[in-house]
Amino acid sequence: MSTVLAARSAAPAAAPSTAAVAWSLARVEARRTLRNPFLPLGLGFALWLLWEIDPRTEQWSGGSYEGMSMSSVSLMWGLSVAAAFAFHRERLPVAVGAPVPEVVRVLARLVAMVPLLGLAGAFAALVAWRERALGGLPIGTEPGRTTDALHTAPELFQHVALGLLAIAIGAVLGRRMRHLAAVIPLVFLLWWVAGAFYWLYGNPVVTPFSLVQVQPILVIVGPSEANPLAFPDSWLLSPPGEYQDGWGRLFVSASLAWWHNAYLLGVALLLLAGAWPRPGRRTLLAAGAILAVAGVVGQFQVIP
Amino acid sequence: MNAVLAQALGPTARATSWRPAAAAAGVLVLAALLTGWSDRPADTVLALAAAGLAAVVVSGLHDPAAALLAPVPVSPMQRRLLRLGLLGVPALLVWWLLTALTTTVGSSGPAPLVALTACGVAVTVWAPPKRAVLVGASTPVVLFALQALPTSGLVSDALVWWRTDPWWVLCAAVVACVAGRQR
Amino acid sequence: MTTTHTTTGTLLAAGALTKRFGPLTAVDHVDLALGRGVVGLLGPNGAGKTTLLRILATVLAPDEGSLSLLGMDPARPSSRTEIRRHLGYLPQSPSLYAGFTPLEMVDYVAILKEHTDRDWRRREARNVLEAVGLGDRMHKRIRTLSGGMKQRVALAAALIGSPDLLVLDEPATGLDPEQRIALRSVLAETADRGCVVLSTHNTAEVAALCQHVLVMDRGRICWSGTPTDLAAEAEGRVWESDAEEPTALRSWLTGPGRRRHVGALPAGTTPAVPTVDDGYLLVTRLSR
Repeated sequence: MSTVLAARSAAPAAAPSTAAVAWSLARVEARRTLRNPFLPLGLGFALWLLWEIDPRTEQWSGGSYEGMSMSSVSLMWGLSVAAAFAFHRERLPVAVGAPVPEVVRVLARLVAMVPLLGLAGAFAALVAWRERALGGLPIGTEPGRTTDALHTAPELFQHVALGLLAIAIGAVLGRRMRHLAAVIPLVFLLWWVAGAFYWLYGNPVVTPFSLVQVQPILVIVGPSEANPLAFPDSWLLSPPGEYQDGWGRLFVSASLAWWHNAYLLGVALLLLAGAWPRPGRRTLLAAGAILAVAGVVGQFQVIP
Repeated sequence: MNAVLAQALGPTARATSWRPAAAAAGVLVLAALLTGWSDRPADTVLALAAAGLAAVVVSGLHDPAAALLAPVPVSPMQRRLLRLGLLGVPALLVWWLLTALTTTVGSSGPAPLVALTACGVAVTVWAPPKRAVLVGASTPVVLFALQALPTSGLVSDALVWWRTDPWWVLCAAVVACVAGRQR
Repeated sequence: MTTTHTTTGTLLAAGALTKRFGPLTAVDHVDLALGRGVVGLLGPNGAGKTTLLRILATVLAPDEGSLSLLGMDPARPSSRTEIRRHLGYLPQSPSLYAGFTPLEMVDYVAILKEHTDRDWRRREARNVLEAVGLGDRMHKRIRTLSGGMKQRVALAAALIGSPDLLVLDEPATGLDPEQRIALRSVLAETADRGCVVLSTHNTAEVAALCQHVLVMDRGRICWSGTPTDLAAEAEGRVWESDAEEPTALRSWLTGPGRRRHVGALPAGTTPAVPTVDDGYLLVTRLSR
């Protein structure tokens, strides 16, 4: 036997399972993705945004409560860019003759994105800690006001759902766009517009379709000359002002948040279908559409 | 050379990817419409638009055939300028559309957009070739985000120069580009 | 080592050409003096061939040394532009615009080579595409072409304008044997009026096409001469046997159970007729 061949070890007797192969691929991809410099960039800005939120300096009542919800937007931008880099590699025909099919490779890449979801989850936990450290957040105006509001579990979970959506956005853009350089400005615009316009998402008509759901939702419940003491005690109130005719009820609901998370998951599945190979794409589209529609309908049912 | 660049305009336009620019314009026009409809100040939208459009324009400098075209008499800088012209003019038109759709008070015109674009191009010129366009296209985005950092004094002022003194930033970026014109 | 190959006049001259990438010296004090004809650049992977070719194509500036191309100094911007008007370059991994046709791609490169006469350009583009065997594909989108065809599109782009200096980095990559033979005819025609420098791993190509050969290793030109001279280096130092030879510098299989060796000929062994391959392997092994 030649010395070259003798040095090589024998191949394993049985082929490894699909799960083992996917896991191996996922580990390699995860190590690579976590080194993406846009992750610490996005996380850094998100942490700074979170830290800057101070109820003592908020410009309108509830501003800090709303700000906490959209504080993770720049992290989402980082997650989208990191996912785009990973899925852009799918465009290169590497080992096309290998037995591992494209579906397994894409699945492995998605599994590799789980640490990014972990980052989003950790950020949500940080938000929960931060608002408790601040002693709660103020919402509303007397006689309908609270000073110790805390985000509900589904509202905090939105950061994770947004993380999944961010990964899906990055996956489809990275997979479908020829040039990676163009992905960065596009996801930047998407997430910053989503973040900068959060004041619009308080409108009951827009809320179910927004990327970032920011509670409380404003529902006009009386004209500007109405007596606020006549409203139920449990209501949080917003007075008439420059951008609001009449008295408004600031509506906060855990159910609303859960339905919105369902909507986000549905949209994420729809987008993931764009990054998925043909087998299974229809399933993703169907599941995504059902979840998204259910999420929207559910929100409309909940909003008074 | 003018005749060469004029004849190269058509094929360069065909070789340029237009979908990112169209998508960015769509997102921004929607944002401007929402802002104008709700009668809110447009400062944030226009600052966002400046960074986003600048990043998209710089990303258009990516040339898949760069290796093949490296030794042609038309220099890399001339080819960059050609692509900048092709993408920059529509970017300015989108900018003006955005200002028409929104209420702007004391606007500095498209100067921030031009300044950020020039910064991105300067970074592209000087960055290592393999990642040049990627790093250059990230520059306007990063500058936009940096302006929000909690700094004070000169650092704080410098981080917003592209908004407050865009023409000086443009000058500095142009000087950097001219210094690297052979790259 | 000074390499001289001049038929009539020196078109390319380099003195102590050096290029470093951090701690790595990719091109190490290379001297060249080349005239009309085809010069082959042989060497193992990582020898510095691509870096040297990129310097000769004015894509990369050397860190040290002098370079003269077509009598001009490429370090001066105005001279560099003038050189590029008479230069054709095929990079190692050429990228093309997938949505263009070969005709459009070659036409575009011709524009950037400052050929503004549209009729001439179109005619010339057709001619070079015919010459590389893509006459029937020139209107198909590049994305529909095979790898070998794309390579030929890039070659056609390098040939447009009949350059006086043609620098080709592994031009035969992806070409089948028939296309390789056709390539030799095209390059031979170009060499009649200018200097062609090409890098290749294919010693048969070198033997068939090149008037002069440079062997490069670890950034240096370790051997220079004609293909016949390169083969002659192995004269009396190559033999065949059925067994491994521990004293051989290099050994490789030539058939089932049959081996060829280069090195010190064992006593009583009949030497084989040396080839360019043998000479190249011997030279690169001895240079280390």
